[in-house]
Amino acid sequence: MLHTVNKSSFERNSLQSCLNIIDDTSVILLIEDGVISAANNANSSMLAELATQGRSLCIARRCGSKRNFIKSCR
Amino acid sequence: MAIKKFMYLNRKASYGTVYAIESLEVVLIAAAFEQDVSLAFVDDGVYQIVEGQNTDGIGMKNFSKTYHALGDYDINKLYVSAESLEERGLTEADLMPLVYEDEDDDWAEKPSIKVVSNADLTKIMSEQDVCLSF
Repeated sequence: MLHTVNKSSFERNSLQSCLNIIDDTSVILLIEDGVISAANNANSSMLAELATQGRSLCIARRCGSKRNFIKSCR
Repeated sequence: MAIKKFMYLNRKASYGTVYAIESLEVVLIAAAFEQDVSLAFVDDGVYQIVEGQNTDGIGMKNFSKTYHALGDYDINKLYVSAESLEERGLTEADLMPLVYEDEDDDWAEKPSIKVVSNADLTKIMSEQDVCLSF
């Protein structure tokens, strides 16, 4: 199932809420302010665990580039 | 009209909500009334003044260049929370080089942005007459 997160993890618990209910077939699309969670910052650990499981993550490029995040993404 | 100290507290990223651009508009209105205006950028608000914003393809106006005009309106006290920057993996070098011309110093160009600790920000906020949160 595709889950979309469009809120900053610094401001709302949308991402944590999403992580709490997904299974290993789920895909997360970070969009709008949700892309903040994909940058290198104090909340990186929320998604780092998924990456270690070899899971892929989709980030809306247009939303990322407008905030200058693509270059700072892991 | 008596001059009051106004602080505008910017707490949200630029394009996900309308708060950032609304704040900027109200700031410019206050400046037109020749009030003593300060801006504070905390939490995701620090993203508002990050350099290199690009809104191509999202159908929104890139209003980040407007922050460069603040200096011409005598708005030259832009406080940025050091803690908020650090949490987000940002440094002062990631922010736009916003400047103003100091009329008391032969119009020398000086930086408007001051990165301060949350403790300093608490003190600065307590010195204001009005504090508006966006």
